[in-house]
Amino acid sequence: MKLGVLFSGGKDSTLALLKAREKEEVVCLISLISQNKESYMFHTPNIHLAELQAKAIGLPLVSFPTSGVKEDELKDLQQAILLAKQRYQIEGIVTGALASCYQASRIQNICNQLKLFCFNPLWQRDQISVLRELLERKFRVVIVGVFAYPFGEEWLGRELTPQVVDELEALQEQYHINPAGEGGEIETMVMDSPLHQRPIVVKKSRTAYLNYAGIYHIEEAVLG
Amino acid sequence: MILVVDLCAKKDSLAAEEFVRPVVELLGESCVVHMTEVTEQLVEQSEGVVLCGVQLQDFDYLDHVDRFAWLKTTTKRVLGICAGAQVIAKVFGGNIVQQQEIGVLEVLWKDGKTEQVYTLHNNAFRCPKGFIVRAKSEQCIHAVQKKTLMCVLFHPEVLNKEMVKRYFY
Repeated sequence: MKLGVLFSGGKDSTLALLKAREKEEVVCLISLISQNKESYMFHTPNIHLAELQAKAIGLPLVSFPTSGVKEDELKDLQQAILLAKQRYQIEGIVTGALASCYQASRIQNICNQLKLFCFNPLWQRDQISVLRELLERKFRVVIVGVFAYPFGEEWLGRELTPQVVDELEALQEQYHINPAGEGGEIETMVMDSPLHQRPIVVKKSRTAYLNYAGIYHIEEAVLG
Repeated sequence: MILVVDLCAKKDSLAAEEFVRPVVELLGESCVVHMTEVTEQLVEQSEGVVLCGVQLQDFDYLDHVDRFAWLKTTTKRVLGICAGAQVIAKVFGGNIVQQQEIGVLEVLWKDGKTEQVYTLHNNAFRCPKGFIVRAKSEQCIHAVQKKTLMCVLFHPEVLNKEMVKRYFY
């Protein structure tokens, strides 16, 4: 079955892509470029690098702009998926949804209207087990956004390691955060994985941080 | 050991990660078989059976209802989830009807309690003869039961996880 993957370049959509490729034929990636940094639906930090990510993985990218206004972004998502259906004859969509019924049901609804199958291979996964699987599968994941207490600026640009996973697990116990960022606490970007033909190399970056919210902006990146 | 039956069109599919794996993770030790592999012997060797749900655009399970004739004689506890519930209803003569619900909604249980549930279906079922209606949404029947056979149209493995374990243990 020909599938398109809703792709942000973050850990969940990239792991979902890997799982989809193990079972089906992935023919394109689909990215929504949101202008709204507080989008309900889409990952935003460094989304401008989706094109470079797609090149690194070797798949065509359907990139679609969205204002990020709450219900308009669903119409934009529908348009992007429709475009991928017309351009690549996809029969289904893959998402990295873990636990958000809000996100998952909206994408399910759009796919159902377009008579497309919708696959969510990480659905209901334990978040720590997802982080550990990423490490086992040799993903290089960097934290590019923090949006909740108690994440300090030192978390920005940190690479996911077994120690970082342990720290996230401890924060889960102490502060009830979602350790994989399912509640929007953290955002990530994958620099390398078994899917990447070439890794992403950051040439220039800066951090912006205030009151437990910050972004690691990748201003310049190339393929290694 | 609980027998977990995968009703997805293909065996060992990407969709099973979404509809079968979460049930297995809730139950712990269990035995997963595809709907094309279920035998009466496997059912009788098990401690109970779960018939899992499928994707919204997957209607293949409706062509395999005859494989589930064992439901008429088994005394094992059986939990049918969404497509699985439809299969049980169909075996006992309850019609499948078009009814779409997607997302979180409220169901009303027979004892007067309401509960938030996660739904994902294009079809619902009519209550088969001999079953008791346990829960309804505004649109349709969501739970029916006959002795050890329990059908739920919503997906308890998403928002009502305890229900899955409680039914067997």
